[in-house]
Amino acid sequence: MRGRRRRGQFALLGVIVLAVTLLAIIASRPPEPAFAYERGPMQSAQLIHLARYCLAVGCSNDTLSRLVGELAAYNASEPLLMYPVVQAYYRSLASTSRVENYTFFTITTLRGSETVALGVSAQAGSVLNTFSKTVRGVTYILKNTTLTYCHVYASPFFPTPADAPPCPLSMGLSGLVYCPRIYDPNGVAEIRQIGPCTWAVAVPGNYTLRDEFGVPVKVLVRG
Amino acid sequence: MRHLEALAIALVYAVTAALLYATAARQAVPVHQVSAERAVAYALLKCQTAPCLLDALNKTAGTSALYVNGTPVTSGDAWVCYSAIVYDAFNGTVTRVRVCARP
Repeated sequence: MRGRRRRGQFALLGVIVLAVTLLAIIASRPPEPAFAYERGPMQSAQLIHLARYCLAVGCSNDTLSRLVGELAAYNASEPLLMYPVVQAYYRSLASTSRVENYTFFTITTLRGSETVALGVSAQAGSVLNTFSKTVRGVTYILKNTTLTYCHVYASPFFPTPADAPPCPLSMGLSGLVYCPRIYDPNGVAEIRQIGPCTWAVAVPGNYTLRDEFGVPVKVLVRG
Repeated sequence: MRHLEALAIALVYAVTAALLYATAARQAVPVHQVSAERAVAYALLKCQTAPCLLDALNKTAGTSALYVNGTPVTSGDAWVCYSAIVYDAFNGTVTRVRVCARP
């Protein structure tokens, strides 16, 4: 009888210890909401935004490094939630009718090294015809041609849609394809969109337009 | 003695239920926060100026507070906040935008 009572007392003691332990766990972690900060898409977008700015102000590897350094400094005081950017470089390719600009960032995520990239392509067709136009007392000979202009935003955090319009990039970047609006800040060129990422433009020879982000759009006309 | 054991078991049930409730409360929130982060990402891809970004974020459901260079534009509870740095190529300005969302 005494043995059974003692076993009961031990069991009761165990239960009390367990209860106190569970209460201690609850007390140490009050039932407040815990927020999971997602990282990845926002940083990719921020880097692409930065790369577009770099192109708009005249990009070089030095400019890009400085901008990435400034962004890392902001990350220390603002919740940008950035993974470390271990490498950033800019590259420009040009042929007789196409100008391509690339910006690559290597970031270290929880999965390892991953690449975020911006590709910008401006491909002009051959000249279809010419005509004259007078703007503010100056007469220009404008050449009619077609222009394919597009941005590709590549990131492991962005989906690659199957129905994206084609974007002529020799480095074979795949990602979100965006067709920015383009305009002529001088008001000389004539621009009309004729398809996804395709415009009919009339420009006075090799000419630089601008897109909606301020990025220069170089039109290299042939013929 | 039996009453005492029953009381002890009831106590353990009660504490375990409270613990499970607390765990569930903690886990309920993160799903909603993904949308705020994605909204900032989308706005950054779409915009190169601060007014464009603010307009895009104001249309985002769940935004409770917005700050521009540390100054509140719309005040509210700052539950979970994300920041974006807007590089405006048209006037050369750099703007810090912080968007906060409620759970």
